[in-house]
Amino acid sequence: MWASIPQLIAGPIARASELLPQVAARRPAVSATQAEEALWLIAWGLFKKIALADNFGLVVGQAVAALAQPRHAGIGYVFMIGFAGQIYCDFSAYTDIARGLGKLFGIELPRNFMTPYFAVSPSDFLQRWHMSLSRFVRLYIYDPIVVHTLRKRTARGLPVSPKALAAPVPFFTVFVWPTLLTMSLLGLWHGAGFGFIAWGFYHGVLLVLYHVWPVDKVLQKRFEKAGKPLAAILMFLLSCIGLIFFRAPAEDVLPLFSSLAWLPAYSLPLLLLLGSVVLVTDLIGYRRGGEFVDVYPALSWWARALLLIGVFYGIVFLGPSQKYEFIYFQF
Amino acid sequence: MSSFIFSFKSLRPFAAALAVIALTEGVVGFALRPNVVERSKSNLLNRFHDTVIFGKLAEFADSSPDIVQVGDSSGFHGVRSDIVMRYLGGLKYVNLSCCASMGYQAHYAIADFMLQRNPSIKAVVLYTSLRDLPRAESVEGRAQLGDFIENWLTTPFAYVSPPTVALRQRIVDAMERKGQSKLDAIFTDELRQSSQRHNGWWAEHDRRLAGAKRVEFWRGTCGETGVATLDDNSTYYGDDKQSYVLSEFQRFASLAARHNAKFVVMFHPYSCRGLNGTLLDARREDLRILLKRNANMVVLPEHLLDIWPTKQFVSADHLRVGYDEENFRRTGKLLAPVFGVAPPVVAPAERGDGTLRGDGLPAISEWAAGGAVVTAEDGNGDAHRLIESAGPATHRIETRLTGLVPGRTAVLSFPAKAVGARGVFVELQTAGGRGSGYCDLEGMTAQRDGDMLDVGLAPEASGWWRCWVAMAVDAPTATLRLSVMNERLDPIYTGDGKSGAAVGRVELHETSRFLADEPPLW
Repeated sequence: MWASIPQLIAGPIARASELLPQVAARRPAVSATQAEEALWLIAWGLFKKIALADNFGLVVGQAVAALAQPRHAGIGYVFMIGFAGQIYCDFSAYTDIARGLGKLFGIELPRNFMTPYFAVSPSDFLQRWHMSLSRFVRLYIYDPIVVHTLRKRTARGLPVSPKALAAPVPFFTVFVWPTLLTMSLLGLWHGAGFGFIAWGFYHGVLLVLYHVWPVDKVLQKRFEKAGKPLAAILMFLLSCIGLIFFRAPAEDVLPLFSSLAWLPAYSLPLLLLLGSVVLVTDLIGYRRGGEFVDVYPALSWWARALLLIGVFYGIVFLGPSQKYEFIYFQF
Repeated sequence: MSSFIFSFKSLRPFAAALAVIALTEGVVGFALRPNVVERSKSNLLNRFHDTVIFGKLAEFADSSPDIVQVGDSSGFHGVRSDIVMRYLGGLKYVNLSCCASMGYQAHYAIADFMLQRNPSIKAVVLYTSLRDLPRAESVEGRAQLGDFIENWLTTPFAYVSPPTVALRQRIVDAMERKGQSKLDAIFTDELRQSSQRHNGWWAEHDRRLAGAKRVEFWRGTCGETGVATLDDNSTYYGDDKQSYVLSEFQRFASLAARHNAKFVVMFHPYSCRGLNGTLLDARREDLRILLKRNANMVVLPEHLLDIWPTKQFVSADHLRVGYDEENFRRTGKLLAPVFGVAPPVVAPAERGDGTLRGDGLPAISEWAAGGAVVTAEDGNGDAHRLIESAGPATHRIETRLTGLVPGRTAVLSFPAKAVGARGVFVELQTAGGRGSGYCDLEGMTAQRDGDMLDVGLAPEASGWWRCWVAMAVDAPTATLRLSVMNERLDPIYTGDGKSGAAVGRVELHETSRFLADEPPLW
């Protein structure tokens, strides 16, 4: 079906109520402005995929190869930060291209990312990372379990007030258990592998821990203005750790974790260059309350032209020889 | 179905960007005039593959050869095109072989690329070692480079790759060159120059193994008695139960046939004393089937196995410099009848007439020293110790050789013994040439570079070694330098003030032609 071409199975996961009316309706002609936005989304997506994600992929590949060497101190940092960059740029690139293609057909697909590495807590992260999947599991797994549990409590005559639910047993049955189950299933959505389930479970544990002890709020209270960046850095590192479960083969997980006891002993110019591009562009988007792609329409026409030239030569000059399939096509 | 409303104002940024990009590409394209190979991102491959494969392809992409050779390094080092051409009645031969590690898909992609661009090609020669016959690893396992070559050079995409990719190549090359060690830069330059001068050939630069290491290597390669055993097994067959020789060589034959060219499979001389096992018979049967199927196919030599003395090889499939000349002639002679050419009668090269020179070389103690101290070696009247200084420097002695006969090969040899984990780096500089080589006294290896013809290391009594180098001289005088070299084989390093090498009297032989003579292994 033509309407599904830009979306495929990797997402964004649109609800039928969002997508079908658009497909069924007679859509107005695509305006030149919409077409420009669509082409920009596609161009930016290609840049992120070819110039950033595939190069991050090279870094990850080198880190995996380095694990085979006798000395691999700190290689876990390279691996997890490299993969954090790769999976984010890869998947968000795919989403941008899908959204751009959708726009060309007059169909609006939901946004799937919102500068996730600026999240200050696990719940904030889930609201910024693969947003359509997070929404899906919340609506179709988490909420039904919680509602079912609360109904059972009510049927048994047990209290469901916030105070009552804060006691250990209700807290476990109403919050901890549904969270861990939902997040484990969210991990399982990516594939039938222990690593994916471990990654989801790990995020579930983080959600519970932050619920019990909201580290982001503590940091913001303690360090005021600096608290928010500190909370974001901490959350970034925590999400990076989770990616070791997500990406590494089982036999590499322990060596990767043990290597984290040391900092990398060599220079990483490529990782720094790629990381800087992601950091700067995401920061621009974040400060404007969106993503970098959203900045484009607000620019003057010549600034947009410069940006497009930069994107083209970014692809020409930075694109590696090796090409990787979109990561989320595997799931 | 939605329609589309065009508005130039909204698409102005795209139009402006396209205009700037088109202008930039036009200017760069006009200034650099890069060919399709230069517009590939080959320098993202490892430096060796980039220099050898893409360097040669860039050089010969549009050279209108009559015969192109692809294959592994046995042919890269073992077939010198300009000598082969002497036997082919004016046909132009280009050697595009590189290495076994590139896999058969890459050999095929290179042949395909050359055939597409050069209708002049009359034959594709797949030159390979018997050890590198197509099997799972070399066909399926090493497909990546072949994919890269196919994607960048033989698809329509190759022709739309923007000229700025070539500019990018040059920038990256210049940056890499800046960070490259002087020795690496010499190595790369030498490879390029040799490739340009000899249509793709470059002499082997393998590390020479000495003493127990040499014996261990050859026993590992050929077995205890020198007769290797290679059996036919499942790795030589694909999932369809068809042997990879059948499927891969058929691809080549069909490709050549599509371009009205011959497909010649040529086997390199074999370095062991013999070859047992079932492999050879199985592959002979495959080739017999292929020859029946493909009128444009030729297999040389017909019996596949051509055994040469092990001492003529520096590694399993690389003929030692000097001994490779015989293979240049062999290749020409075998190919000539394929093209209906009667090979000219060329007299075989004579063995060198060596003379030992007793003059012209002062005693070590009289050499000029820099960054090193020369002391007498206890218990050995002729020998001296060359002890490195404690600072960062070269630690060397040098002297001037006089009375050399230009056009002859100078063979210098001396006994040496390590003091600590050290070796000796030898340099010989004449008016027009510079050669170097090292003798790693601890690691039992030797290697040559630049204009040095050969270098070697042979064990002597009581932990001593004889280190020798050979270089053709072009002037009556030359400067000879001996430097201490550390365990990383680097002649420039921070010494400890204690280590070094004991060096005995240096002997000078002169000969009209030099061929290394290693002790027999079996």
